[in-house]
Amino acid sequence: MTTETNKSLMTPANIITGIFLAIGLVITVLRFTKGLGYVTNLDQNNPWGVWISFDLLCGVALAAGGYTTSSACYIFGMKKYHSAVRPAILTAFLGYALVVFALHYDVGRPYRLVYPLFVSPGTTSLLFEVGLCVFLYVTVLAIEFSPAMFEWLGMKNLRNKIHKLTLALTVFGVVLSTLHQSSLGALYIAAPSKIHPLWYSPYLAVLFFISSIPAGLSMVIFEGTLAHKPWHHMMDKTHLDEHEGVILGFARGASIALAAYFCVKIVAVGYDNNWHYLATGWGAWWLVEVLGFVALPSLLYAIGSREKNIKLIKWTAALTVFGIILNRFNVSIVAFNYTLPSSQRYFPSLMEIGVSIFVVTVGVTAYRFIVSRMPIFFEHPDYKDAH
Amino acid sequence: MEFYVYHDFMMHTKNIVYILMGLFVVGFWGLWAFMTSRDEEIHKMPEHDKE
Amino acid sequence: MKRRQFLGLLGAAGITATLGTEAQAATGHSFDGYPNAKGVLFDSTRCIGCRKCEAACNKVNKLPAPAKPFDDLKVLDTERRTDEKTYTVVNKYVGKKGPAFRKVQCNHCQEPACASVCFVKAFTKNPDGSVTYDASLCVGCRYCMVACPFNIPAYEYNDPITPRIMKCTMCHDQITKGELSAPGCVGACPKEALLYGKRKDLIEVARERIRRNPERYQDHIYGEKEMGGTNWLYVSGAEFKDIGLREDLGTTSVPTMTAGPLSVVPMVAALWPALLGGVWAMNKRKEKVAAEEQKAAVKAAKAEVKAEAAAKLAKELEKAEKDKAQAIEREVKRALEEAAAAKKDEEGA
Repeated sequence: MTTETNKSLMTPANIITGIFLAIGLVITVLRFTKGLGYVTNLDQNNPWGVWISFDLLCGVALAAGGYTTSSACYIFGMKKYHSAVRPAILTAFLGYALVVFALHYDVGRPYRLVYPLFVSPGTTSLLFEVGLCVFLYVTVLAIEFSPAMFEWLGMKNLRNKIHKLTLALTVFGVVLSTLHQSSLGALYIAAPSKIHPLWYSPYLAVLFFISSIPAGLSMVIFEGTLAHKPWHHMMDKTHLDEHEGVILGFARGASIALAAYFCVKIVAVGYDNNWHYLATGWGAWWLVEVLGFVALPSLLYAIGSREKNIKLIKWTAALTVFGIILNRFNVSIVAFNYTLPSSQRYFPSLMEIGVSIFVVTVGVTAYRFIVSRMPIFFEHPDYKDAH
Repeated sequence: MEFYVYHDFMMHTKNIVYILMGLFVVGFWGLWAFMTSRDEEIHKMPEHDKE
Repeated sequence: MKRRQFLGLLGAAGITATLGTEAQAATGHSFDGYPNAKGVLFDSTRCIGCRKCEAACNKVNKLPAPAKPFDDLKVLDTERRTDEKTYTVVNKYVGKKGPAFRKVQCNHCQEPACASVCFVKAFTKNPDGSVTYDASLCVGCRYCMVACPFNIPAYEYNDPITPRIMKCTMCHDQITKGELSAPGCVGACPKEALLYGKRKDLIEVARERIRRNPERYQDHIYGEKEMGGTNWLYVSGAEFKDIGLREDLGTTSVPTMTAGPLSVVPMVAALWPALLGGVWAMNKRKEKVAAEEQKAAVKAAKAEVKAEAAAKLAKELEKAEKDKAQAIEREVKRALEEAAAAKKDEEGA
């Protein structure tokens, strides 16, 4: 439990963390004293930049591991994934908490972030839907995660009470995730004239929801791989024994989900008869995304799970995660404002990227703090076989 | 109530829908709690069977 | 024309948002806007690019002074858009028939995209046709800027904590208070290129101008139907796309586009718990059956072992019995044989 605190704090990882946090704090001060105009490359034509594309869209999509893993285990009855649930819930909770944190930088008046919920709800807006769901889901994730904390703190009564709510929380979590994952895509349905037809589709909601499933599953594989080395000593026998099964099972799920996503991507082009755009430069880029980062990982996952090739699966997970990030950037930045001349297009400033790195660093630091202390990779001895 | 603008009409109908959704959630939970309130014995069975 | 509709996420539930291009309720009731809504007709053939409207707008809205004065017409050489200090700009477009001018400002949509996407109801479509903004509710998310098909709302990027969205109000406040009888820009136009009045009447006026001078005008009133219709209307000699007005926007309003995905939201809330609960119950039952089967199998196996043991015991017993019988028989036989031998000996002696 105290392995980290006993060592010197001046490890390379901690030094890098410290630098990123320091840079982030400086930009934070600039953001709240000089305004968005000073810190970002946003302008009147490009109101949403990398803080929306990466911190919000990618953050939410990649935190989908929470609802996919917990529903696989508790609703679809795949008990063998039980040891993967806690790490996934933790990542999702941190992911959503950081989305909310990052939004404080992006919106002009962060102190009014509760206005849509409690002061003046604009129910015709899909952003209202997103806000409501994210607010509720962060709460659900906090409750879902809390047993780990209560076990750590030795608060048995509270832990057992919340444990009983597992099913209800899981179902509610899937409802909320379905809604806001899809609504994030639906945000862009309001801007048909600005997004290139290959990426604009009335199916944007479906596309964002379906793609969040392989995104979440791949993130669980990817993050499990990263966590395995530094925290191997924290993992109990169940976790280590189930680890390979989780990877193989999730690879299968991700392969099928990517195949489904691929189909909807194709159908979306057909819906408005946009085939002819495939012969243009935009089409080439679209094909890179859809063939290279949807079809290919689906195939690689299938091969990996068929041949039990764990290494291939892990690389495919990284490829899929990158593909989802590429898609969110394509919809919200690359294909957005495609009619404007290149001089009026948006490219993020260094300070914007700095804040995004800062946010990720905060997340990784919180993750490191928690898994080194709380029962995430192992089952607390008092609650073995309690599920 | 008369609406001249579709947006205003939508605001009205969506307000109602969101309230309904809240009621759905509470309703589902209530129905489930009522339905399973006498299930304690059955619920515990798998635990006993584990031995 | 593209129909931007959203076929329901839940195909199985048969949800299809089959809304037409006009804003309609599902029963077919259509929404035509406030009956007395006002608007402005801009006639590009009359505009000379004098920028007097820009100056008037700046004055009546008490906006900050521009970098270059309003009588500097060189400003027209570069295409501009509205920004946080400018509600309206005039652009010059050089075409085959000489320069054409077009005034840019909020078009005051009949079904405003900004209002539809705002999650705090900061925008209002007023009965007088104007679309106004309330900074006291605004969170500064800038979704209105993303959604506006005309790129009108501008944001105070240099204000760190109290930034506002800035855009033309059709002088709603000033007219309501009685300070003005028409928007500032309209009153300042020396060429009557701008005409303020009821939207319905303006469409008639525009039609009449086109009918009288078909060679002077394009046969189209821009804004009559675009994005569900706007209260600011345009007639022009040059093609609209050549004076910076997109012709590919379609006639579907943003609220109509988002109606599809919004209609799916309550379906997820209503159906997902039931479906997921069902899946859960199925798995629970499967588990229970499996557990019972296992129990039964254990019982059967136990019984079998017992029976086998009993059979084995019986066999052993039987064997033992047999052995015993054989032993007795053997003893008897031997005794008899001995007796017979003794008899023989006796007889022989």
